[in-house]
Amino acid sequence: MSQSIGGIGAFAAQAVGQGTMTGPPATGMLGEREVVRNTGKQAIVSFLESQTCYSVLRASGKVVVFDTRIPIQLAFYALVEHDMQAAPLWDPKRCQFVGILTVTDFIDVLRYYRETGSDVLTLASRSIADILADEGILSTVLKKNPPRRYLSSNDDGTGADQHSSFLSVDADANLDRACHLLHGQTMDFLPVMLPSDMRVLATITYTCVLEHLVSNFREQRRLFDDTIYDLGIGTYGEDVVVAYLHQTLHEVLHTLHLHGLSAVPVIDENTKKIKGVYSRSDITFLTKASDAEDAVSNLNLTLDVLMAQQRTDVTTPDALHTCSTRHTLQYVFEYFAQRKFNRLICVDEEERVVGVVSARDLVAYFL
Amino acid sequence: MEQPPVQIGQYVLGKNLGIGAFGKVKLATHAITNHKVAVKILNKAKIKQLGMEEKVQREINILHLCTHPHIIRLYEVIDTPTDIFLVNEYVSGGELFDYIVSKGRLSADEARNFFHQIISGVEYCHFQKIVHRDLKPENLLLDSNLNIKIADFGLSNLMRDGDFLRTSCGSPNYAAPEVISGHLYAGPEVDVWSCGVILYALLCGSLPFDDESIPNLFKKIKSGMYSLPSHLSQLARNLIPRMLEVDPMKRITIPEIRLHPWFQHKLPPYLRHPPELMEKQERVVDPAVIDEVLKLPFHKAYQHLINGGMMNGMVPQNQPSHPLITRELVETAASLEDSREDGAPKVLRDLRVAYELILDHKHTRLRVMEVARAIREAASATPPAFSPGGSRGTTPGGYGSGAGSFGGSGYSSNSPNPSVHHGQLNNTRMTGMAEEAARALLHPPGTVRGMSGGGTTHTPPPSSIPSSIGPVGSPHIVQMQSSIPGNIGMIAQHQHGRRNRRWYLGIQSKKDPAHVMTEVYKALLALGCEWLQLSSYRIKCRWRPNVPREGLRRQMAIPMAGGGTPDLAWDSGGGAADMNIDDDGKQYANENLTKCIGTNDAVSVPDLSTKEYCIKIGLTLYKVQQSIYLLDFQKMTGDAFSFMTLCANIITELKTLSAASKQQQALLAQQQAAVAAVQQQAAIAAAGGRQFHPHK
Repeated sequence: MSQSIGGIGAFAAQAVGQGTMTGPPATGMLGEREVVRNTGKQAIVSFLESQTCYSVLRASGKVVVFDTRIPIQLAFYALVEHDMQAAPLWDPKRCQFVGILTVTDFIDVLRYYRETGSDVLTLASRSIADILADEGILSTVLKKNPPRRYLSSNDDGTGADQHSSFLSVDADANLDRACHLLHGQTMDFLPVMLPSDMRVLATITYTCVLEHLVSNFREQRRLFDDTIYDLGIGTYGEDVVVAYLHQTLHEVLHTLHLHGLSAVPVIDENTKKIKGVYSRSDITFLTKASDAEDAVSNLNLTLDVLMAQQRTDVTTPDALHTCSTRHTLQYVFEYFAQRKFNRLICVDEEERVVGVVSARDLVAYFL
Repeated sequence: MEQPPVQIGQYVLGKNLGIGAFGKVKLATHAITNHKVAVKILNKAKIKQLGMEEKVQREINILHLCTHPHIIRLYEVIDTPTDIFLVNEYVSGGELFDYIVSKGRLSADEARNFFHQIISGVEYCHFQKIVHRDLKPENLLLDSNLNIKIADFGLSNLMRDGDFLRTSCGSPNYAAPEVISGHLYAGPEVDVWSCGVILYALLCGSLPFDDESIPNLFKKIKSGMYSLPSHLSQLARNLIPRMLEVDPMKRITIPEIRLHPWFQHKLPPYLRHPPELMEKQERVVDPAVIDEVLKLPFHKAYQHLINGGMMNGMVPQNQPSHPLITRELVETAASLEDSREDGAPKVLRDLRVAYELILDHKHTRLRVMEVARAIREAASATPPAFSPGGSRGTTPGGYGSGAGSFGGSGYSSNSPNPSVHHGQLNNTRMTGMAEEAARALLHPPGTVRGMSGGGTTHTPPPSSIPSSIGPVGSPHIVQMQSSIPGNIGMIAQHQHGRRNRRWYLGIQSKKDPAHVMTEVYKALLALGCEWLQLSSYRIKCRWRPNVPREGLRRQMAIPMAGGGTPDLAWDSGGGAADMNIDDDGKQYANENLTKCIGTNDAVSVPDLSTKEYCIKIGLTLYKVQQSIYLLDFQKMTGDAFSFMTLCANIITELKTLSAASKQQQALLAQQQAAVAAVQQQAAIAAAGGRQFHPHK
């Protein structure tokens, strides 16, 4: 899957070349630049430390929580109906939260049914608790694989398993702490809780944190004029995992799962040009299906078929947004303030993918 | 022969300004400062007769909370045995409503100016956990400088847990769909809708939703049917529909409105501050104002204190102040939290009121000057560092450097050495960029096709750069969809026939209320709940989630339902010994799966699985309309989810009872099995969870 993409070498050289061309004596410039970078990092870290998780929450919002006894299929409908990506799971017998269920989990369960050839119609009657107690499912499709890029950043390899325990952050904890949790435990959704009465106020994501950051961080100095590439924000070159238009959904989802990725740039295998981005939580193939059986067989559809569907609601964060390696961090933040993307696909002049910059990368840079 | 003027406290009452529900509103003059105030006279007997004591107290509390340049101030409350006098800020400009009627539609700038002030005031209310809920031009008053003052919190509610914002109130033309539909939740988004209607009225001179017949009007509101006149600017055409979004969850929020380019345009500096700062600024003790207070003729008011025998004329006219009124005293008064602090002696409270009156007038003057200055100068405030448009004043070159990079010259060539001289950008350029940026934002993605393939020949003007990194406008864009309507297949099938289902907590019945209560008691008994009757249609009820039903049933004292000793029933615990065994007899090893991390350490979460753990809920039967009753659940103590489990159990039990009595058709709303829980909550008030079920 991951293969070297033409142009990356030249690109890197160009970026370096510019750094030396414009600057006065290289050593002085680098020192100065280093100071500015550190000041910028420190400014953001101080901001994150000064804000509580509470401040990220919207004045009004909703949380969907599932009783673990309800059928998983119904839970999935409820997620979609309420436009939620994730919901905490409440076990009424134990009187506590026991995990989180995401749209992606449901898709992964469908993958399991396809792989094992089980009768998917039995799925309708299985409760969330039942599915999450199924070792076969837990140890395969729901097994967590950390993103390769961040493998070294946590000791135990995979971080928190959100299917069998519930890790949350106190609403009064600072944002820096929340970001470290998200990052260190390789979670995509972090529930914010009022521990006093076991109440989940929201589940936050990297994108939520960034949204809060770009709309509230105040700074007079120009601290973010380095390019994202120079700062090492994002994944570039050989580490970038891509998918091709002719690949089946099943293959792509499997790859995403293996690499612990939430989305992948989709490229044309002939021209190597970017054609879109496919997100693990995309449910287009489900909306096309007439029943659960059909949904499973839709996993055999190829990406070009799925992506040919015209979509009108293009403002969601999973739409394709591109940038170049020369865009500054300041600029990326400003762009984020407008577009609220989950990730930027970094492309060269020929629209070939050279990297991926996720909301997570942007936050992780400051941790 | 004219009657001598009536004086209440320090206020000489004047002419009538109007008549409210509980009494007159009179113009009055503060005898010491000569500033005009509006005194609202509430007749206590009338309040009591209408059972509104709580509501009035609420209004007073709400007004006392508010210190904001665009909200009517409450200076003082004077309590007499027969009446309550509310001393409010007086403004002479009349209602915004009349202003619009007399001027017709306003210019974009004038409308925006009003809109800035309204949004700032509403934002402040929300910061104080208040939803106004009755925002309309009639409740928006104007002062002599045509500044907005939000008035009439009579109908507003503090956003408190459990008390659903249920009252059918407000003027229908301005009411949000969820309010007229009787949905049982309503938070800040309700005010956003009303602000949208007001914005429409300001810009168009007419109402977006209007109809002779109320049912038709409701229909229009619920379906969001209105038309946007062609004279509106593109940005306004973007903002209004986002405010008049029928789905409250999709409606734009106040912070988002703040960021909207139409709003950002010409936003005066003093309205850029977050609400907490606004309040703080209003409360800074101002020495110059203290000087003025010291000059006031307090000797007139306190002559009886100085010397009972001293005649008015014997006080030398040039005496600056009463000797008792020292600077320290005034400073103490000025720094009081507010004028109603009970412990404070009357002198202090009087001084406080005088101080506030003078301060408010001074602030108004200053603001007028500031706005005038701001129009001349570029903004110097620090907007968020990354906000589009907003950051341009202090961090120029952001877009410029972007242009540079796409022109092939790299980030450093355009602003290699960003320094202070860039710091000021003229206003037109700034706003031009904001508008431009926004226009790019408004374009369908096909038209802002990314320039990723543009190459080096394309050098766009700096202001259009936002599109340089952008969605590639190809038909291949794939994403998570945000809403269901229009979908076919698996999801659509599930949706079939239920697309318009509404979710709320509670159960409605057409049966006789006494009968409903009997069924409720039966259900509670069956569930092993203990209860206490507070009034005919209000009970509180206690439940231990970890004590099995059967165990409880065996040991429980029969609760009182209209007789006996309530306290006994309430206190007798259902102490079953066999805890931690569920209905299937399965034993749980209770390990703690819920973990909560604080800033430094893990925060302990309460263990809710003990048999002692109990939750308390309130049950109230309301009359919704003619012969339709709503059983409402309120969480009193305990966690939200056990609360919802109990609600689900009660509803299921009631449904079973109802089915057993072959009267299920009488139930308007059937409860769907314990499906999931939706919390619609104000984060601040953190409203309790609500079980939902479809309304058929």
